[in-house]
Amino acid sequence: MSLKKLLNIALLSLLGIGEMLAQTKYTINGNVKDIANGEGLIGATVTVKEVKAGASVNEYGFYAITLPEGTYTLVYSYIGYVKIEKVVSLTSNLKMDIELAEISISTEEVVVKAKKENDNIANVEMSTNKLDINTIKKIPALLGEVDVIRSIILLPGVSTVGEGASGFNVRGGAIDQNLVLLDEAPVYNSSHLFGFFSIFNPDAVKEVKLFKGGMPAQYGGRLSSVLDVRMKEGNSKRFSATGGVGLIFSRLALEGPINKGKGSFIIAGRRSYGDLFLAFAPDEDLKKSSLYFYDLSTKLNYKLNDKNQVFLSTYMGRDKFGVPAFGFNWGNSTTTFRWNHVFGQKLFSNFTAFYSNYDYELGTLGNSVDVFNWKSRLINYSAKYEFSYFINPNNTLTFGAQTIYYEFRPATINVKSKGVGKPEIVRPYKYALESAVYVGNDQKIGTRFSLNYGLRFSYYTLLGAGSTFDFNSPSSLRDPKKVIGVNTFKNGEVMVAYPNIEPRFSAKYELNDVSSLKLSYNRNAQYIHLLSNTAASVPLDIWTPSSNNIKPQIANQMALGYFRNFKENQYEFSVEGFYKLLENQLDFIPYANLLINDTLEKEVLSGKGRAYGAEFYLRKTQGRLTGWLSYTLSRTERKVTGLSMDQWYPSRFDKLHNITLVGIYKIKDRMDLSCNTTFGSGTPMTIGSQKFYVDGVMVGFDYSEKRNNYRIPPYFRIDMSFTIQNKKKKQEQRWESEWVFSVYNLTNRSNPFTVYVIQDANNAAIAKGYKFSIFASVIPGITYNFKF
Amino acid sequence: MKKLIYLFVLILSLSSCREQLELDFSGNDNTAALVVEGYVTQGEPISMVSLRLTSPYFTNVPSPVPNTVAYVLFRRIDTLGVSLIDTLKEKALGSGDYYSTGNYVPAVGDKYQLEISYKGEIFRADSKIHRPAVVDSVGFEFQAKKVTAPQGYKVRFSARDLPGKGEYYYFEKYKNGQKYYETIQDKFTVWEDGITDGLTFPPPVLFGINPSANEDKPGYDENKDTPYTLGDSVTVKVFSIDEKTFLFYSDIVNQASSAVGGPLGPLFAPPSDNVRTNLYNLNSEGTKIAGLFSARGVVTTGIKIK
Repeated sequence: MSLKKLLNIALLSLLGIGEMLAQTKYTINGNVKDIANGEGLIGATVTVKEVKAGASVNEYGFYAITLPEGTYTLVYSYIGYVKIEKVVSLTSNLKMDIELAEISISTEEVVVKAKKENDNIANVEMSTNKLDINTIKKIPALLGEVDVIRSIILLPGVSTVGEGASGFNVRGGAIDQNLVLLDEAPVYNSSHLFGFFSIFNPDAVKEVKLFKGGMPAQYGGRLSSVLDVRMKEGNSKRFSATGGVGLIFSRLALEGPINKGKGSFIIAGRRSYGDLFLAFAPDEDLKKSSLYFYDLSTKLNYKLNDKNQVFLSTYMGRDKFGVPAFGFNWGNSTTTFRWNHVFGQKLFSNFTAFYSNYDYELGTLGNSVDVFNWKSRLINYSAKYEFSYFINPNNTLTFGAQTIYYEFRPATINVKSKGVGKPEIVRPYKYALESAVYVGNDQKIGTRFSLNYGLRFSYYTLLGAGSTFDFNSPSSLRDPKKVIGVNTFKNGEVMVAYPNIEPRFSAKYELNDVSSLKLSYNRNAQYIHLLSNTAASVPLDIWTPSSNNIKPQIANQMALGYFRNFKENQYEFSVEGFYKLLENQLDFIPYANLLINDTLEKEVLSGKGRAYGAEFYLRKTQGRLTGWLSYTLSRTERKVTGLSMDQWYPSRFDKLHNITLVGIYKIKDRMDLSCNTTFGSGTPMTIGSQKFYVDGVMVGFDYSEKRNNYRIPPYFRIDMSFTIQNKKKKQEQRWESEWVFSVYNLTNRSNPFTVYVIQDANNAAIAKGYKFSIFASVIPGITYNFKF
Repeated sequence: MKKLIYLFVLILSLSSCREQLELDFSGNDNTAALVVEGYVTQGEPISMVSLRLTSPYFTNVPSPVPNTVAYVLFRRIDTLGVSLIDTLKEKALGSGDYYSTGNYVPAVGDKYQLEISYKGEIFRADSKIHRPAVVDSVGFEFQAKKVTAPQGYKVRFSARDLPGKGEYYYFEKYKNGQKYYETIQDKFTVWEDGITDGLTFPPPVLFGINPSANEDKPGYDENKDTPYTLGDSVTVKVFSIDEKTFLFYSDIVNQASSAVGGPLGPLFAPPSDNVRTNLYNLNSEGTKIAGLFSARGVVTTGIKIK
């Protein structure tokens, strides 16, 4: 362990705590778990009363605290759980595995009176929202189906272009600027059914954490946010099942222990069944149509001994959509292997290897006579090794390295004419390697001040075999760019390389027990880009790597926040202001052709972006009525040479005002009523206000040539749901079930997604304006959920 | 229960809707731009260029004619390098339609420059006549009644691109001498030789000369959309166009795409920018211009169904 000693000395002297070396010190470590199912409690805190410091439980449920010899009181706490105090006399290294129990309904009244922790004030994290799955399950959902991303959209700083748009936008960032991680593997399209549902099966999800800013150094590769979704480990105490039957799909999750709790598993699946019922449709074409999705999540973990634990998680899901002559389908699959190992007492390590794949296919699927099928695929392989070093109660150091290998397969086309196959058309693959090393430290200075600072160094290379193109630069977008030079590279040769240094910093100062000030800065680099030139992002958008023509995107973000709790921490209030500058933002020439285009880079334009705003968040965490009110006032703009007269223009997802109100009211022990209300300013779009005619056909025209010059009418929606749990016959009965009745879009408002003008079919001289809405009616839903 | 669930699926899939809406464009710049539509066609001695102005969407003056006389000319250079200047004449004063003299016959390889002097500004566009496609065959066959289409005749024609990339095509069809089309996509059927260089045009382009004749199609017109019948004469013109003409037509189709494409069509529509024109003002800060000037080759084929 000489390396460890060296590290110790280097770090301790760096952190200015060398003087503490004089005393004999011991480490307490262990896991903090849920007593009911053995799930690790991520983010639970262990506080040492005597030194007013402690540790946070990491993503794997592990913690370590190093203290001088002595007697201490350790307090283990986690939101919604009964806290435990342990008095220990520390004379040697100690292993303390703790199990916390969830606050049950019967004990709730007692606990409400007890003082709630002020975690949000004391934590250095800002611009971060954590939603536990129990809260997500209470929010009224479309067709009664709980959804992770639909819940995220109700948080401050998060928005969407509209129903039907894939993904979500965070603080004025595009959807490809979100790093969506499912057990550490990136997911490239997080939507089912064009964004109506997300791919995460709520029965398999343990926790969801969204970083909108102040990202720690271990996260990188995207500019605007990290959505870190952690799957459940599976119940290690007993076999259990959860499931539900709804109108759109049904779910089932099975979990249980392996080898007397040394390991556990979970397997969770969903399938929508719209298509099964289409078979009863009166219409021939509708009968042959398909419209469904499925997904399957599995996870296994096994504890080899006190020092070693392994995990294997997989996800696969697919959406299929087809009418007799045409169809398309898309899906993600990921596999993550992880190995936790504890070196000595306080150096925790995790090795992760993952594979991630996103692909889509469209064409005459299923037809074997006249065929046109086009497939596109993105494949990743990655390895990551990360260490958490619990130096002492005031410092936790995280460091590691990661490398990701990308293989882009833009298009493979199969053509058959009258049953005769033509040679397969394969557009050139692209290869890239993205690597990073990082180090970050969580540091407490005194009782009121804490810091998280770190540095990430990322290095990107575009690899051969392949070609880079040089284009001419015409003076106007009216003239298409032409290839003036081609450089060809051999297999494995470095075509383009970009290094980036990404500093990260957050600080917190507690003004008193109920209020704190927080500040953060982060710089992020992004090397892969989603090319989307449609009104909203769709599953057919293409991911492409940085090249000589497409530079890596860079963001610099500053945020300042004030956090204040009221009424013994029952009400949490925060206001955060942010300013984000974005470089090398992509936009496109008018009517860019991005599909099956080897030189698509000539259709891409690059410019600057900026986003700024304020987010107000008031949350009530306890009592019969819980919920939150969120108000975001923000702007997001772009400036691209050649577009919109070279001036700043709003991006497609710019929303000046965005207000959400979520209320969950416990009517009785077994009955909940929830309501959420959303109001958002209309998003902008590009549409001409004038017309001209070409051979009698009306064509739209805008004299100003400004991008996103028209505001769609504002968005407003109210949803409600009512949950009733069925009465248990006996207190010890394991079978629990509930009915969820929901109404989406209660006020029957047709919120426009876009507007357009068309020529009247009967009179060529007349233009008619239309609005298009995805959901233009009240949508009721009913779901039956069970658990045993 | 099955019925109930089926109903809900339908509600979900059919709940998307298009409603007429008063659009408020009061904040937009409604300055009029000059609009040009001009064609020079291989083998046709008389060419026409029309000048119009853009107008706000919701006025009832569809296509106003500029109230100032313009000076319109062609500069032509043929394949032998012989150049000439042809000054166009307005058909009738105030018509906005200008005609060439007819003193020469446009041929493959000719280069044309259109120049318009209007209100003290000069506008130009350049276009070249490209070699036409090759028609291999044209015929027809009887098609029995289908579930959603009445019986009738289908015209089958086959044409191909000549080897060598960078060629673009635009298709026009005529039924009994009348130009015929169903949708904007259909009207501006264009093809780029890219991945099918030197090959026969793909089936959707070739079959596109037939009426869709699908009774389920929105806006089905039983007088117009029926299949061809005995006695019909069908003509197809395949124009070889230059790249900018191709972009102009495909941009129009893209611009119109938010209005079509089933319940989710608008999700796939690109931003509705101005379509890219090949005309430009010598003063880039001056009055804006829209439209097209296209010199084009053509091959015509046809058949009478009898």
